[in-house]
Amino acid sequence: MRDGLRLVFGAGFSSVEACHQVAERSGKRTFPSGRSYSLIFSASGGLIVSTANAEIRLRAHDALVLEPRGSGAVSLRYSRGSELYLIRFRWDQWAGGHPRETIYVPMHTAVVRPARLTHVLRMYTERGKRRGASRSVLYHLLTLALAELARSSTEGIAAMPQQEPCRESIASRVDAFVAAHYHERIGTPEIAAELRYNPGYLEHAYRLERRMSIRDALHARRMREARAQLLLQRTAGIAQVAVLCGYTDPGYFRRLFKKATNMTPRAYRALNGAPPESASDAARRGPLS
Amino acid sequence: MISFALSNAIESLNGGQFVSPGFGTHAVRVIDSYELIFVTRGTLDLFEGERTFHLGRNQTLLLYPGVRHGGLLPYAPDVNFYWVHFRLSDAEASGTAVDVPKTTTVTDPEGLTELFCRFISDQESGILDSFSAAHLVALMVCIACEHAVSSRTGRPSGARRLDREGLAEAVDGFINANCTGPLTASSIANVLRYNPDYLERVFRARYEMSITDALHQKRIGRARASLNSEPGRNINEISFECGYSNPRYFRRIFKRMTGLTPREFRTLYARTHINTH
Repeated sequence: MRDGLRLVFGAGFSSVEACHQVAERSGKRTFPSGRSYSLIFSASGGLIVSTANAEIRLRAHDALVLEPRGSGAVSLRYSRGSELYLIRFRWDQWAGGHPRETIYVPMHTAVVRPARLTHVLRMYTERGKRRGASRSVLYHLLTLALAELARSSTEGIAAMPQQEPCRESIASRVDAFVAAHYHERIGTPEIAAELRYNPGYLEHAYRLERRMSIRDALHARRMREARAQLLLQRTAGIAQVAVLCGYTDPGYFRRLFKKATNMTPRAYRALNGAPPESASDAARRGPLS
Repeated sequence: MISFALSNAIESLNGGQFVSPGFGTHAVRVIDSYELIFVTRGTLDLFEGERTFHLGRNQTLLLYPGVRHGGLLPYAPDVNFYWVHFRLSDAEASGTAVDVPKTTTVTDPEGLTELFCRFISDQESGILDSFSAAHLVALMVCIACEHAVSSRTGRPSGARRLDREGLAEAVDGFINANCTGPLTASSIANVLRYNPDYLERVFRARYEMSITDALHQKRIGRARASLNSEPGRNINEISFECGYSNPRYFRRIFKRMTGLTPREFRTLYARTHINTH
């Protein structure tokens, strides 16, 4: 039997330099624009980039991609406290066999979600400065960074998700907790205690993001699991399935199930004869779970 | 606009996070895609074809399409793993080859966890385009089989050199075991009874960083894992648990090591997709 899998990635890429710096004082650095591309991201503070024929001012969260220019030099002027990422790389456009896709990246981008780009660039610079870093890891990290830039330019500020990131994070944490603990005896007060929020505030934040109460979300999750467990645990009684989904009263479970699914648990099990592999996910996303 | 031509060996499907409910067994099934499994907590016992796998924390398993696989034992109560399905694309590519072993032990578990979180969060918020998804999964596969920083090979390795490497590794082991306590580079030198400067030099030769930075890296690694896995934890509490008695100092180091504040980090990839069966 085969042991392992061989994957082949784009050949024309190699890393020339990867650097992250926080300037302790204002200064300047120069590098040849020669044969490599450069990606410059101003994480905080400002930056002035001078090339042979242009001077570009980068504000915080701006990114710049420069093409190779043969001869000449690029210089970066930064002020005290500014933080920047500089990645220089070779990208031989046609060396990788038949390219499947082409990605278009603007030269100058105001990055919409700077934290996401920072995360990827940091993974890159951490590896780029080590000996023997995996070229395929760097290649894919860079690709993700470029994709992030391309996305920033097409989305723009207008298409930014309207949700408030902090509330979104709170709602997601509630969802995660419910998904992991639906089978326990929990309600809004327990969830709030676990996540260290005032129950009233948590309920309010969740409603604003998800347009339903935490209680309803909990019941919805339990019903989703109940449908799956009814089919996965075919020998278990309805009362047992109810317990697995966090309901100690089988009558209450049956009532809720009927309201949510329009049939009783027993009827649902009988109707779905063949044992599927993972019912709830299969229903949600197609054949895989 | 600057264009970049790309090729990728992978087409991604869907991914998620499994959290054990304390009952049930992994379904026995045959799927038509590859599946990468990454265990972040507990142990997972699976079989594929004739082979059995016992995966522990920070280990990955690559399952093949068309081969029957399933659980050997009921889920351990504490098991937690990430999974993603993918296919190989038929693109003809020549270039860097990566050999992905059947099972690996991950050298950057925090990084891999965060990439899984990014994939799942984007998938759940509907902003995961197929292009980014494919490269993200390819990246996850490459990170799963990334090697630790190995010392330079091909150089004469006398007994003395081996001694030094052994010493550097002992320091690393010591940091791993004690990083949540009040540890400093000089206290390590004291405990191991070496001159601090000598120890620093030996360590740097092997790991390309200072002992203090290695200590921060381990501690911040733990903080990253906690921020991801314990949504209810207060950030100050996390800083104490990771060996920082001053939360403000912790925040400064966290920002320096990751480029983000702990709070930004926690909200980075917020959405999850958790399955329990």
